[in-house]
Amino acid sequence: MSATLEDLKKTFAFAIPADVLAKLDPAKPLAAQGVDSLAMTAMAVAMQNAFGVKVSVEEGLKLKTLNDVLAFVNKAR
Amino acid sequence: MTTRAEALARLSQQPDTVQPGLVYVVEAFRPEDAEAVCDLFYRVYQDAYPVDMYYIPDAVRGAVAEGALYPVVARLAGGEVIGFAALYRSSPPFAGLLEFGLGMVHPAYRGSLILFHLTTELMDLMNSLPSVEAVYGEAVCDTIITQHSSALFGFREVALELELMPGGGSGRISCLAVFRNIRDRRRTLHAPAFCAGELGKLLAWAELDREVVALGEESLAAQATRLEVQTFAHAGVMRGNVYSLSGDGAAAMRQAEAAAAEQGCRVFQWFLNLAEPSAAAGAWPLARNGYRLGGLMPRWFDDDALLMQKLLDPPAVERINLYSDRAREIQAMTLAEPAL
Repeated sequence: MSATLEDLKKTFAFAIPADVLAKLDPAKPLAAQGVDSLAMTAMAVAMQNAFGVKVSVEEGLKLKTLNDVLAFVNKAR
Repeated sequence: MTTRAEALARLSQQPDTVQPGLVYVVEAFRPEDAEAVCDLFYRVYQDAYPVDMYYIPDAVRGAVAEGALYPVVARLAGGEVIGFAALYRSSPPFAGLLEFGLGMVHPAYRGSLILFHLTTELMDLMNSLPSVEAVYGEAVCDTIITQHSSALFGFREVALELELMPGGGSGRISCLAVFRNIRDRRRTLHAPAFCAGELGKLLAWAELDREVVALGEESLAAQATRLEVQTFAHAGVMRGNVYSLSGDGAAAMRQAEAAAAEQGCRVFQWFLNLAEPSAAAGAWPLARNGYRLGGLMPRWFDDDALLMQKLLDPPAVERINLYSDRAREIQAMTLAEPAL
C-alpha cells in the first residue's frame, strides 16, 4: 500500500516543529517553509525507520518538497 | 603559530566561492580539507566561534593527527567544504569517550540532507574506530529536534545540564546529555544513598552492566584529594572532575567554586567518579552546598560519573523543551531537593 501525505506528516511529527508542519505546503520547497538542516536530518532518519528507505546523497539532492519525499518513499520501498 | 586574529583576518579577505545546489561527497576529513573547514566555520559563525582552533588550518590538522578530532566533511568537486561534523575530545578525562557534534552546514545548503549524511557517516566512523569506546552528545533543549534525532540514532538520555550554554539574547540553553556505549565491561559503582534510586534508573535506561554498591556518607576518605577544574569563561561554566577526596576535599571543592565564580562562572558542575567511594561521597557536601543531581555521565572517567550541578540563577524551566518521558523524568530529578 502506498504511503500518503498524512502518513508522512505523522512520521515527521517530532522531526518538524508542529507550527511548521501544520502549515506545510507539499508542493513548495521544504527549506523555504522553515524546515532546517536539523529537521531534515530527523525527517530522513524517521523516514528510514518508518518506511525502511535509505536516502543517498544523489537522491537527497532531489528531495525539495514533501511531494518529492512522498514520491521517493513510494518508489523506494 | 598563527593567532586567532591573524586567522580571522585571512578568512575575512577570502571570497565565498560556494555555489548552491551542487553535488557533494560525504567522507572522512583529509588534511588538505583544513583550509576549507576553517572557511566553513567562518561562513557559519563569522568571528564568534569560541574555540580558536577551528579558524587555524594547521591547528585542525594537528588535532586530527593526534587523535583529538575525527571529522567528516561534505565536499564539493572544487574542494569547498559545505558541511562538517566530528567526534572530538572535550571535557571527559577518558580518551575513549568522545563527544559527537559540531554539526554545521554552509548557509547556501541549509535545509538540505547534508547534516543527515554527515551524521550517518560519523556513526559509521564511530563504530570503526578501535580507540572509541563510547560517545556522548549535548542535545540543546530550546527545541526537541536534536533530542529526537539523537534518539533515532540510538543515543540514550542520561543527564540534564541546566543552563549550560549562552543562548540568543539574555537567556541560556539547557542541554540533554545523551550517550551511546560501543564497547564496555561490567563495572562496580558506589551509589550515594540519597540518589541511588535515580542512579539505578539512569543505569538501566543507558543499558549499562554495573554492580551497584550502596554508599553511606561516612564512606572512608582517600589519602589525598585529587580534583581537576576547567573554567569556560565565555560560557560562564565551571567543570570539575573529582577523582578522590580526603578530609580537605569538601573545602577544596568550595574553594574551586569560589575561584570560578570570581572569573564570572554562574553554572558549576562536578563530575564524581563513582568507582571511587571517596569521590562518590563528595555528593553529600555538594548537596549541602546547594548542588543538585544532574544525572549520570557514563564512561566519563572510563568508569561512570555522577553529575552534581549548581546554578547561581534559577533555571528558566519554561524554556526547556524535552522530547521524551525519560528526559522529563530526568528534569524532575534535577529540580528536586536532594533527600539527604
